[in-house]
Formats: sequence, C-alpha cells, structure tokens
Amino acid sequence: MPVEFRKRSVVLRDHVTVEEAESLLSWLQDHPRGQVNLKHCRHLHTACLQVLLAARPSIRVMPTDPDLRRWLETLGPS
Amino acid sequence: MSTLVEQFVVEARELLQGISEQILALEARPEDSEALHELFRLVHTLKGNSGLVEAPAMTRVLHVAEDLIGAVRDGRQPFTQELADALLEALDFVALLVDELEQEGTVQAAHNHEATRHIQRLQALGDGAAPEASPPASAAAADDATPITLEALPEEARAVARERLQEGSPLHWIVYEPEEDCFFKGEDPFLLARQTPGVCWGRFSPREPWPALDAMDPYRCVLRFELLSEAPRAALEEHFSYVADQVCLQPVQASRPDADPVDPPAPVAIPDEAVQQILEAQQAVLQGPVDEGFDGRVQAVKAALEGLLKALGWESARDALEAALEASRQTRSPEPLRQWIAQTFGRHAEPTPDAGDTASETTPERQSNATSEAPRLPEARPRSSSTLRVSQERIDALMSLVGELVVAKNGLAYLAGKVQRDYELPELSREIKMHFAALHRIAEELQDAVMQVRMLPFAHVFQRFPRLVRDLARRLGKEVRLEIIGEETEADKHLIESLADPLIHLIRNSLDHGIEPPEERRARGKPAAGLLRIRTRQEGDRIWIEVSDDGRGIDPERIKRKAYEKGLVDEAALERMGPAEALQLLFRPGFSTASNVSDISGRGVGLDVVKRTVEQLGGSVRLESEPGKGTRFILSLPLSMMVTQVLVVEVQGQLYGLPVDAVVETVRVAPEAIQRIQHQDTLVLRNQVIPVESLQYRLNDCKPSHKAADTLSVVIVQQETSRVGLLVDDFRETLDVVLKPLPGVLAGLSLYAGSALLGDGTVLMILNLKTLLEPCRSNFGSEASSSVTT
Repeated sequence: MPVEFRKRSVVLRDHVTVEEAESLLSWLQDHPRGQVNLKHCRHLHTACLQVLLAARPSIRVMPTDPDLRRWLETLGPS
Repeated sequence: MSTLVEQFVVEARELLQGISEQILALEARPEDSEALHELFRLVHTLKGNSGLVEAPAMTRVLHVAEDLIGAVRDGRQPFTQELADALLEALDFVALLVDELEQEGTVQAAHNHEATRHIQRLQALGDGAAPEASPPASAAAADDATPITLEALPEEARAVARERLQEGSPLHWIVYEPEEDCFFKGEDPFLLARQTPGVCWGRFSPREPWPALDAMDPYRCVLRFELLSEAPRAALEEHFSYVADQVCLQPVQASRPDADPVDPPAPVAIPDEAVQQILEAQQAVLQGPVDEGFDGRVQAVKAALEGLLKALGWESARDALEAALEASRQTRSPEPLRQWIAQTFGRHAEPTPDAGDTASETTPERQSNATSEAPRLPEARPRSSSTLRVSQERIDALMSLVGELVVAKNGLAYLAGKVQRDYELPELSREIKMHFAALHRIAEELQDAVMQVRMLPFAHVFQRFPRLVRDLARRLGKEVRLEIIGEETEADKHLIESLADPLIHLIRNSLDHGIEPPEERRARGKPAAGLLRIRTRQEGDRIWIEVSDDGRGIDPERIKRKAYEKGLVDEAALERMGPAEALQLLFRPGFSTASNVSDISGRGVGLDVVKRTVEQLGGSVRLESEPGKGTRFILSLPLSMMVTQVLVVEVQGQLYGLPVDAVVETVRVAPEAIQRIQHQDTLVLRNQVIPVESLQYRLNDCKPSHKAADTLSVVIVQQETSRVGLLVDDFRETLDVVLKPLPGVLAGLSLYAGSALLGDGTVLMILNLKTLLEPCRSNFGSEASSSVTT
C-alpha cells in the first residue's frame, strides 16, 4: 500500500494515488497532530497534495526523491 | 490506421451528423427539451470517444461545447442563434479533425490555436452562465505569446529566470490552473506540472484560501501551478495540449536589456504577507543540504533578496547582503545569510527548526502495485450489436462474384438448349432446365440480397441539406423552407454518394438564382419564405429525383440570347429551338448566366458537371421552368448499376448491345422510307423527321451496303432532346447483363461502354451511344452550316 496509517504518523510511499486523498484527509482530521513521512514517496496525486497543503501537518521526513523534494520545499517541515 | 481510429472516425461522423441535426431542430424549436438532452448526450459521447484517440484539440473543443450545452439544458443559458452558429462552427472544426484523423491517423498540434479560438468563442457565449469555467478562460485569454517581463514574475522565480536568460536559453512562464473537476477526468495536474519539459522552477499555490479541514472537498482542484521552463514553446504546447485552455504560456523577456539594472522601479506597496512568503521560500532554500548545488542556491537566495530590497526600497541594505553572501560562501554554511535575514526583516523571519530527516521509519519495503495514473472512470455504454460494419471492398467483391454466378448460370440454359438440339436428349435437357430454374431463382435472390446490402436511403445524403440550406439562406439574406419528400427511398450506395455533389449544386443554384429575396417575393405576391423541395421516388427500376423551387424561374429567351452571345449555338439553331430545348442549353459546358460570379453557385462547377455526373451513373437530367413560377430539375437514374438491360442487335454477323434505357422503339421500314436530305439519311416516322445513321458505318467506317432487303431494321434511340435512328441488320432479344468496363488498353475505346459475357461464352460489346452519336451530330451541324455558305 502506498499509504500506511500508523498511530501518530502516516507514511506515504511511491505513488500516492487519487483514491488515498479521502482517507488521508479523514486521518489528518482525526489526528490533528499527526505527522507525515514522505521519505519514500516519489509522487503524490494533486488531490493528496491539496490535503497536505490544507491540513499543513508537520512533515517528519521530506522525500528523498530530489525532484519531489524541491517541489515540496515550500511545504517545509514545520 | 488502427482499427480503433477507424471505428472512431465512423462513429464520430455519425455522432456529428446527429449533433448538427439536433442543433437545427433546436433552432426551430428552442424549447424542445428532448432534442436538448439528445444533443447533450451525443456531444458527451463524442467527447468521451475522442479521448480514445490522440486528438486533444478535439476533446477540448467538445468539452467546452458540452459545458455550454449543459448550461442551456439546466436553464442557465438561452439557446440563441449565435450559440447555434458557434456550436456548428466548432463542430465543423471537429469534423475537419476527424477527416485529418482518417487520412493521417493523427491530429497535428498545429490545430491547437484554432481549437483555442473556438473554445474562447464558446466560452464567451457561456460566460456568466458557467462561472466555474471563467478562470481558465481568463487564463487562456492572457495567452497568445505576449511576453512577460522579468519584473512581472514572482520574486522567487525572477532569480532563476534571470540566470537562465543570461545563459541565453529561451524561457517560458507557465501558469496552469486546472479545472476544479479535473480529478474526475483522470488528470493529475501536479504530475503534469512535474513532468513539464525543461522545467527549472515551479511552485503551487491555492487559488482560494483553504477551508477548514472538515469542510474540505479533496476532489475539487483549487491549485494553481506556476512554472518556468526552458523547453521550446512547441514542446510545452504539446505537453499541455490536453489542458491548453487552462494554461497560460508566455515567453519571458529580459526587462529592457539596455537599461541600467539598478534602475529602481517605482516602489509599490508590498503586503507583509508577500514579504513573508518570499522570506519563507528563501529560508526553505537555505534549508537544503550543503552540496555542490549550494553555491547556486545561495546565489539564487541572494538574488531574490536583492529583488525584495529593491522592491521595498531598502537599497541601503544591499551591502550588508553582499557581505552575508560572501560569508556564507566562504564558510559553506547558510548561517550568515539566515542571520542577515533575521536582522533585516526581523519581524518577518521566523526561526525554522531543523528537519529531522534522519528519523526515518524503517519498515520493510513492500512492492507497491499502485498505478501511477488514476484510472479513468469506466463509462458504461450499452451498445447493440445488431448492425455490422463491413468494408465496402468486401461487398464489392461479393457483388462481382454474384455477377459471375449470374453469367455462369446463363451457361446452363445454353447447355440445355445444346443438349436438346445437338444430342436430342429431351429428358436430360429438361432436367438441366429444372436445375437451371432453381439456380436461377437462387442467383436472383442472392443478387437482390447483395444489392440490398449496398442500398442506402437517400436520407444519407439529404441529412446534410437542412444545414446547407440554412447556412446558404442566411448568407444570401433569403428565407427558405426546405421540404424533403421520400428520403427513405433507397438506391445503390455508389449512386447515392455520387449524387451528393450534383444535388448540392442544384440546391445552391436554386437558392442563389431561383429563390428571390423576401421583399421581391412579397412584391410578387408570394410568401416571403421560398420553398425548396427535394422529392425522390422509385418507379420500377429507376429512381426519380426532383429538385424544385418556387423562385423566379428561367426565361428561355434570355438563355437563347446568352448561348448565342457565347457562341454555343448558331442563328439557325436558335431559330429552330423551342423553349424546352433552350433550357437544356444550361447544361452545356461553358454556360453560366450569372453575370457576377458569387461564391455560392458560381464556383466554376456548372450544370454541365451535374449532367456529366448523372450521365456517368447511367441517368439523365431534365430541366423544366416557368418564368415567375419556379424551376424544376428532374433526375432519373437506374436503381442499381449492377445489372444493365441491353437490346442485342446484329451488324454484319456481329452482336452488339444497346442500353435499353436509350431505346425508344424498334421499327422495320421499307427501304424507300429512308430518304436522303442533304447527305443525311432521314426517316419520317409518324410525322417526325428522324436522322438515320448506319451503325455499321459508325462502327467500321465502311459504307452501308443496302442489301436488297425487303425491310430495314431501325432502332430509334433518344439522345438528350433529339432522336436518332440506327440502322442495323437485325434485332435480337433483350438481356440482363453485368456490365464490365473494358480492361487495359481497351479502356481507351470510348465507343464502348463495356463488355458482357453471354451464356454461350461469347463476349457482347455494349455500345456507348453518347460517344457513338457525337460525331454524327457535329457532322450534321457542320454540313448544315457549310450548305449555308456555299
């Protein structure tokens, strides 16, 4: 699964598809302080990107994929 | 061409036809909600199908058209004339793309501009009605390659842009605002943005403030992407071709290259928020690891900050910035710059905690089978498979086989006769005849069945006429009511298709020359709207098509005068000519009465072409007209081209076939009945003088040997308006034959229309009466004129 929900964090891997947006959103709603690990994420669908932008969770690990990392820099660890 | 494209082309044509019918229906009755729903459904289907082939321009245009029709359907927009015009034009464009797809297999990206033009026109009509469609529209409106200056770029992008421009690479600034419902079309704008060729800078931002999480709709795309790319424009257009209306593509221009770079622009009030964002971005850049790209990034940060200072008018702080940069470079640490930012912008800059990028969660990596693209929503489309599409070649092959079967079958009848005659076996002969009868019946039925397959209703060509008439009438400022009768009449596909152009020409002709403008009609006491009637009917094995109008009609005297002026006829002929004959002059090549050539019917394609086409199909055209009342063209055509009925005649022991259509009658006369008038044999038959030609002379160029026969056999044939008698040795039976064009070098023999195989295996040559009698008529004419001069 590209998305793995844990107790306090969610791990996004590889390609996160549009189908994950809803579950991601509800998880972030349920876990306002939940963290996001993008280390092995290579791409996330625009819908999921929007969820992250709106929810602004703290990003625990930025992606190792250099291109995605550059794009997400504004998302920044906060 | 792939089968997919092939199928798409066929279906697209059908759908386009249906769409234009519905639009016309709606034009007549805008309140017809059923037509509206049908229209929406058709456009939607076509759009969906177009997604299967590589034709983004088509998909985009159809998408906007669908939106617009949807707005009309929901009552947000009235159905107006302009809307119909715009839709029809857009659909013509789509039809053009379909044609190209059929010929080339692809659609060129060059059509994108045209597509955008149509889209803008449609969107302009739908504006206000569909507010969600307007932001992309405005984005597209700013398109058109107007360069954007460096200053107009956002702060962060400017440094990157300046650097690239100094390197001399062409830069494009791209603003991509995806549609809100783009996720449902399987689009991933972020992926598209990431994959942009030559992208060297990019960011995304929400188009509207984020709502509270519980009010958020994750499937509504509200992002805006801004990109800088070094790729050539063509590559970018290609990349964004599916969403071209949502993308604004502008070349980046260095700002006034000769101007002093420190020339301060007019200071503008910069909102704190913007400064904050810029600083955050710089902080983020400084966050990056200290690697080989560090120098570049620091440089970029410095450039951005410099720009910010300039914009804020804090030029004095520049030296300190330079110093900080220098320090950062030397120590290879972002710290000096960060401190400078903190000092200079104090309240804006916030400390940024370090990212804990080492704390990765190590779970065993599992292979993910997630697909990179969102799956397209499958469209359930029930489809009946009761019809079968078969290529025309196969039907043609089948038909020629049936033709051969008919010929082979005739051989059996010949055999039966031979068995009885030569071997005197009546029993066997009868049995053969019985088998022949059965075979004959089956062959006939088979022939009918194959012909049925090739049959198409006239509706196939007529369906485009309402649109044609509407467009023409509007252009000419005339009111025309089109009445089509008998569009269910069926005829051979080849015939129907070949008739399309002649019929269109006749319609144009009627609209242009026949039907008068409304004022003139009222003055003459006719209804303002002219009537154009097309009627078809089948009579026996012939098809009759009438194209009539109630316009001003044709004055035969004027035609005569014109023909004389143009040297088409001489005075003597003019005198002899009756009004009906005069009208037929219109079909002569080089005759055009329209004094000024209009773009509607004066295209250099005259009525002579109509006549030629119809004659090639084995038919004839007649013109009737009554001045002031109207004009009527009557086309008569054989139902099928497959079987021709011929009259077999004998000339010097050789058999020839004459098409029965042209034969008026056959007579046997006494040799004395044929009289010579001025080198021309003539025959007086029922008080009518008919020129007589010897077929033998025509064919073999040797003088006819008037044998001492008691009677002479003459076939009277009709050639246009005149009758000619053909002297033959004897008549035989009439036969149904399958006419085969002469092969190879023989094809040049215009005297023959073709050949057919008889039951006993001999070849029957079928004569082409038109070319056969042509020299005869010109001789006749020249002889007449020469006799005048001598």
